Amino acid sequence: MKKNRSNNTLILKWLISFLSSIKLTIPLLFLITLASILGTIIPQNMSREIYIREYGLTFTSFMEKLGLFNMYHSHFFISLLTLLTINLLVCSLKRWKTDWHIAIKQWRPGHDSKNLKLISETTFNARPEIVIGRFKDVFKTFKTTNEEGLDDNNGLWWSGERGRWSRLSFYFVHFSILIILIGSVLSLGFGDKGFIIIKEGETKESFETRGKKQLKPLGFKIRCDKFSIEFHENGMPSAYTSDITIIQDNKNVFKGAVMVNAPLKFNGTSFYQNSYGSTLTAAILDVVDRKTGESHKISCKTGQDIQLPAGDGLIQVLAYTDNFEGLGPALRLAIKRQGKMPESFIIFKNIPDFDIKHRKDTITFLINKVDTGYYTVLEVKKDPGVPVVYIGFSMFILSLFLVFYFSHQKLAISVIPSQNGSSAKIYGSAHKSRFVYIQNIRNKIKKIAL
Amino acid sequence: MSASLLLSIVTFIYLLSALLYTVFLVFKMPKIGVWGSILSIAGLIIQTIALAMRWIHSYEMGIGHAPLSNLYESLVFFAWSIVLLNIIFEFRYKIRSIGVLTLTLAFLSMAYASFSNDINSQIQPLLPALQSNWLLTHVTTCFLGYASFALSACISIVYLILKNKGGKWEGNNFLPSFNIMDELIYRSVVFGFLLLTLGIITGSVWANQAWGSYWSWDPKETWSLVTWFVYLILLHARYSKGWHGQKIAWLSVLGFGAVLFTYFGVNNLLSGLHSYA
Ligand code: HEM
Repeated sequence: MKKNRSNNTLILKWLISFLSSIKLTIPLLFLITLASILGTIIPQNMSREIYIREYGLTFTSFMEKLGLFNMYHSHFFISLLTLLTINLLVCSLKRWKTDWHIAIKQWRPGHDSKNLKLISETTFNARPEIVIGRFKDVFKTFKTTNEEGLDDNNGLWWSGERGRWSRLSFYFVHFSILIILIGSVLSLGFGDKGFIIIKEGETKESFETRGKKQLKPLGFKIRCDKFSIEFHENGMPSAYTSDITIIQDNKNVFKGAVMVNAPLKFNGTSFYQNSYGSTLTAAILDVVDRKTGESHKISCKTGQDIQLPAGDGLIQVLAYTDNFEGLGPALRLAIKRQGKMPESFIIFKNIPDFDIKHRKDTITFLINKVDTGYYTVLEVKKDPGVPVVYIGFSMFILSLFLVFYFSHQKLAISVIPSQNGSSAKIYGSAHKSRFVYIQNIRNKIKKIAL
Repeated sequence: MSASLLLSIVTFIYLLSALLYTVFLVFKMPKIGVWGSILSIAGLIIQTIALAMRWIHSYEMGIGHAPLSNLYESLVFFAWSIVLLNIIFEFRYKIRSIGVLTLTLAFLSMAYASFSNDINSQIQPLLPALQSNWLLTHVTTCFLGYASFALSACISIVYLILKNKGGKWEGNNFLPSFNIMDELIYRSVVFGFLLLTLGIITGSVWANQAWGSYWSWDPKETWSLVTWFVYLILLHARYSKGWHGQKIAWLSVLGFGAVLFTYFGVNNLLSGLHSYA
């Protein structure tokens, strides 16, 4: 029983040291990198047919099981990220006490300390007090930690340090990464994403989620008053703008525009300009009798049955496109006559004789006029994670800067009088970029002319 | 004089400067090395003027935007960044001989921008998605970061060559000792890492503003993260495992490989949102 427990604590100890160790971090980072690369090479989230065409049936099922087609949301990938987070947490929890003690303890070497690194030996034409004074002047960013006389012949000793707190700065880095991760979990767990398609003049009160295709209420109404595109001189689009009105309790509470790079936010819901298209509001058709050449105008809307002249049957506009395979505006129509199968066909605005040539009917159709309006597609998002992620971002940048550009630097000098001045020994170390630090100190010492 | 003519001149100045650096290194002629540096500084000044002219000109055309909006402009800015960083490192740390590689890279980047047939050097208006204040910060931080990684890889290559020739290298006035070179590799990685991080973050904030999603795993995004991970591995190997010298130098070269793929490979071999730049 007793042996068992000590075995357990051993395992626990081993587990903690494993979970906190850099030996776990590096393979994890390596695996995540590889998985990410794979995700860019294998096309993600395509339809199953495409994969089967590309990889064959058996291989596709196999890859599907591994989650290779939705890599960044696969169990494998999420587990790696989770393990990395645990690694980060356990490492910080395990170490911080030691680091904290190092960070609060002043560096105060006595002049007899053996393990100081000698970085320079020089002589000066001045007495020790003057050398020390000058030294403190040049290195005034170093806080004095010890100053004493040397036992032998009026020598002097000084030690100083700076940036001791920077031993803790990598905790801030790791901590801000945790905040970013927490933010993205909030986004995934509590965020809502979807889109909304609104015709000009139309009002909507719910949006469609991507993937699951559910309708979700917005909590207010949104109307698209106008959609417009502006162009540069060379024909490239320069701006897409949806003018919208927000309606709550039958009152217009807000009017504004949604543009690319300028989303609109209302009550925690953001709207982004995503895409657009045009729809038919009304079409005027000329119905021409093939024999007599007699022509009648009729006006149609998409999806409405309209009586043909002389009780010939019904006509309906099924669909409109403003550019059918490069041939310009086109309508798909359907004729319904009694006792016959409905017949569907296409007519083009820019090719008036298309219908005469292609159908052998007693009447033919011409597009006289089409009135179109735009519809706009807005991305809809509620994301409570964003502010958290942004706070993490700012902390991250700041703390990276601290980690990279500050280190715990130590400096000490002992000066003893000699024949025509004094001779000095300078010691120093830094916990990062040691050699550059030493070189900088040496260069500065050279500039002390005494 | 037009900006594009100036940029052609700059291309040749960088070529000449790279040649001078080479002569300096091969024949050990310090004076020639000084001329290499002087030319690179002159080239940088002319290039800065040319970029400013291009910027002003775009405003005169009524489509004003910073000259950072397409592949041509990014290549030119990459060359500018790497020459700038080379000069800073050269003066600060006395590493004149790295110019052989950095100026060659700058020349290649400029030459590729000007002479490749698939690269349009015209000033073009911006698509709506690019019209954002984030364009400037995002592109400058990314490319300064890339340039810093390039510099690091150049120092690493010199380091690896010298190391594999065997023997001790105590450093001289133009090339510091192994220890210092090792730290310069680290320092340029660190600067690049800071800027790449800024670049990824500004890109993420921008994407959130333009499309409503701060991370969407599009190939360019993912590859910049891959690059970031390679350097993260390098940093941790150094901090926690005490890796130094050749191992770090190899990782830095590998990291720059990832940078190159993020820059060129993604556009040519993979598809995604960033297809315009
Ligand atoms: C993906 C995120 C990261 C993870 C999972 C991670 C993980 C770790 C782990 C497990 C350690 C080892 C702690 C130990 O040896 O006890 C460590 C140390 C460290 N990390 Fe990170 N890290 C991450 C990001 C960063 C970043 C971005 C930096 C900034 C450069 C950084 C800087 C450091 C530093 C300075 C140390 C301390 C090395 C030492 O003094 O022993 N880490 N990290």
